[in-house]
Amino acid sequence: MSRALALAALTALSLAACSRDSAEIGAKSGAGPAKGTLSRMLPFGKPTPAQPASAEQIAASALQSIEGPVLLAQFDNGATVIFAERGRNGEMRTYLSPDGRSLSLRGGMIAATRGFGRDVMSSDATQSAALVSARQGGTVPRVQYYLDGDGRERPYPMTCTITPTEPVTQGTGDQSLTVTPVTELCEPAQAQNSYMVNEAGQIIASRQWIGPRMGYLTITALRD
Amino acid sequence: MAGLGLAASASSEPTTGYSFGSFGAPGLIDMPTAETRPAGEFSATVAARQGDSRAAFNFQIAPSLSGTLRFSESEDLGTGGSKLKDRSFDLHWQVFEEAGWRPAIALGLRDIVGDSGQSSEYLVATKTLTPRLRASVGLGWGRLGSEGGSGGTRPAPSGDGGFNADQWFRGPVAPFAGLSFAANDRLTLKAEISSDAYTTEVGNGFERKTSLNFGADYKVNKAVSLGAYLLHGSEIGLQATIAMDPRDPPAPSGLEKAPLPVRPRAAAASGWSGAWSADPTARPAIQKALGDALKSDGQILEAMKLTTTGVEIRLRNETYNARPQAIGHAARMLTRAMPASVENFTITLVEKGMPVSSTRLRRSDIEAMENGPAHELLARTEITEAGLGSDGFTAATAVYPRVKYAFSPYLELSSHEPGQSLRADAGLQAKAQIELTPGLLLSGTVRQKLVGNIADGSYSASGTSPAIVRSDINTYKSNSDLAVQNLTLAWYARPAENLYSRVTVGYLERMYGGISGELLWKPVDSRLALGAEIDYVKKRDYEQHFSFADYETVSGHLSAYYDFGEGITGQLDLGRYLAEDWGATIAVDRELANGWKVGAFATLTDMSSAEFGNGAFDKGIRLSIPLSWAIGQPSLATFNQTLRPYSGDGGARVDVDGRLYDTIRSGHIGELYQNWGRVWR
Repeated sequence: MSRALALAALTALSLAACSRDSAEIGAKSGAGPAKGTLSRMLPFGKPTPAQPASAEQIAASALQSIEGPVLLAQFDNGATVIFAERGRNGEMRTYLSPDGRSLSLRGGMIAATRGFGRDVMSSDATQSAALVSARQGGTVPRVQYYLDGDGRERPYPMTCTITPTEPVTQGTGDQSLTVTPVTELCEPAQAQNSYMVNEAGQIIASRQWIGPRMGYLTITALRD
Repeated sequence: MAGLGLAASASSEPTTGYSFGSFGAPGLIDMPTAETRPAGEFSATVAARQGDSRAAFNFQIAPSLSGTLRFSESEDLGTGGSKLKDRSFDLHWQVFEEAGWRPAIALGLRDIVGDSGQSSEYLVATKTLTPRLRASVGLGWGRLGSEGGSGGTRPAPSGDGGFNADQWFRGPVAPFAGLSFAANDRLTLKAEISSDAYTTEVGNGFERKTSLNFGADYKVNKAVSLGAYLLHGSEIGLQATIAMDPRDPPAPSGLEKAPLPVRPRAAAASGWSGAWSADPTARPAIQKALGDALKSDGQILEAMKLTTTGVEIRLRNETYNARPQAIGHAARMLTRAMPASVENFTITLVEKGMPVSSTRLRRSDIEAMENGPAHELLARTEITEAGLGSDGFTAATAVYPRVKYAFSPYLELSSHEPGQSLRADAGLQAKAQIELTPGLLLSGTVRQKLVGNIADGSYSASGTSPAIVRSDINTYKSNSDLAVQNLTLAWYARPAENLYSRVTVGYLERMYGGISGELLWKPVDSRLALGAEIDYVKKRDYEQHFSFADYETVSGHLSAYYDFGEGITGQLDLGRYLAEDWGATIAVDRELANGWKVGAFATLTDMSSAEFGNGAFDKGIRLSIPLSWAIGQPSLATFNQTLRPYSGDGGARVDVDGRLYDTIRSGHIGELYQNWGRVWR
């Protein structure tokens, strides 16, 4: 009996191992994130999210509460994340989400992600970006860098074929908007990126491949 | 990531095993195959049948070489109704990979240091016939040459726990063969013709009706597989394997918060002129802002030296296993905190109060290369010996004295003693540390056992050793009521360029108290390091409170460390050990960039193998698994374990915490380069 009691006490303690540091380092990263990770690793007990708000609702409330440029990003599984611009460096713009992830875009194309796990560490898509912006076809090289399981930086070189299609015009007169859908097929990843490019050559919406086991992110500029 | 084709091309890869055999290594059931596991993989297999159980740990040391450490208890192998409790070690070397028409060919040794006459050797070939079907044929010696074998007599085992080299590949040799069929991605079916006569087992009542064994193996997921087998038509066995590939973590890395974006300087910024430096309030305000930002990032700004054109910060990383990540975060923050005229950033990493290296970055490079390929930034980065002294630095206030404490559970296993089962205790541990000034640390650990059975064992110290210095470790482990694991005052310093020093006084470890001094020479860019250590110690009482037993000695070593690259380091220690024996320790460790570390060590001293007793000499393996690997978030916490087949008195050293080489290595060029890929993470 006393053993069982002791074991129970031990279990309780191991769940709430406590510590303190006068320099206040690591105070915030206690059991919280580790617990969340644990539930991600276990095969059972996946958290069932509360009824998610629709993308439109999320977008509307984000535009209201955030100042400056805002992006709406959706994973293929439906998860929706709002990103607000927090940095500009040359052509690169870095957006942060409320939960501490970041997305960097260069001319609308993904330059890097952080905090997703299996992130794109960096990307060189200069030639693709030029063709997409000009709405021209062609085959160009592109390279994306990842960390491998060992923790080392590895390039993933690809060859991408860019194909613009017919421009589409919506609305009339001053309110009209002409966009050109452009697709980019990258081998050997078989990644199919698609972009909506306006007449100024800017990407206003896109669906881009992040990387292996991460899939695609659909990015819409809510406010530029 | 391997499936992505980022790794080497598939054609040059070794033949990876579909499943594990009952010995805990890739194989059929009892028979081996020439297969291997992915390099660096760790696996644990538990196999059991009526009267026989085994727990085996297999490690793929190199793409073609693996080792297995196995603990077994067998009624079938015991004498006079007793159980044989044994510990054995195997090596498996794939001499040739499968290529074209040629099968994979492997050589193996089972139970290399055994004294029970159960050891065996083999030469085996495995050929992939179709992508799902593999056939193996081989020749076995020893146990594997006992059924249908012919030729010669096998010498008796030496029985002293040393290598049985004069037995290897001697005596009767017999053929064996088998097939494995991967019915689908999860299920593998196996059949074999065994060359193992089960001689001792049959003598104890085992029925060997046939030489045929059949098995099935089911992969539950990436890590776990379950198996069952029918042995010689009479016994059914079950087994389970957990395999961990260090290169394939359970959680994707990088789940931490994203770093702050770099803030480039505007051409019109007011700070360009440098006039700000005349304002006496500017520096303290900048230092405060930077210190606060670093604190929320899990780092401590120890001191800062700021001039009009350059800044040097002393940074204590408390969060990131990969130091370049700490450097990258600090560099990003510097672009946000520093006036525009400050172009040169020097980030000096500090470990236990000692500056260990300085990384110099140009701010314009950081601005131009943010989130670019890490190797391009490295080409424009200079890593040098850290400047010593505090000239021009302003120390951060309110960091020292720093008090840390933590309560946590602990788990402890008994050390192996022949004839004793493996036992375990669990309880509570309290750890506290007061850092009075940078580098002066008062720390202690106290444990209280709550449950466990280590104290139920009956342990006996060596009867042959000239001094009992480690063979009574289990008696210490049996006393775990408010046991003071350690209580020390340690002082770390940098006496001169390239030199590091440590002095530790107090209860150094659970068995010894005293004083330990160490000096290390290690230039920041050098593969070679040289060290010297001297310890005057007294043995502690079994209760591990504050009194001492009647044994004291002086022990000391000269050490050489060498970084061979690719994360491989070697270490050679020469000197006097605790039992006043003289000798040398050789150790090799392999560390991956993600922090996994595996090593092996062996010590030979002038204590004879007869005096040492079981095991003949001190040897073992050590393993470190970083928490960050398991949870995908940065942490300095690491799970460390050292496994020794036997704890003897020869070649024993004081287990003092915080030796210099491991304290500073992560901040020197070898590891910084290895981990540089995380600089922009």
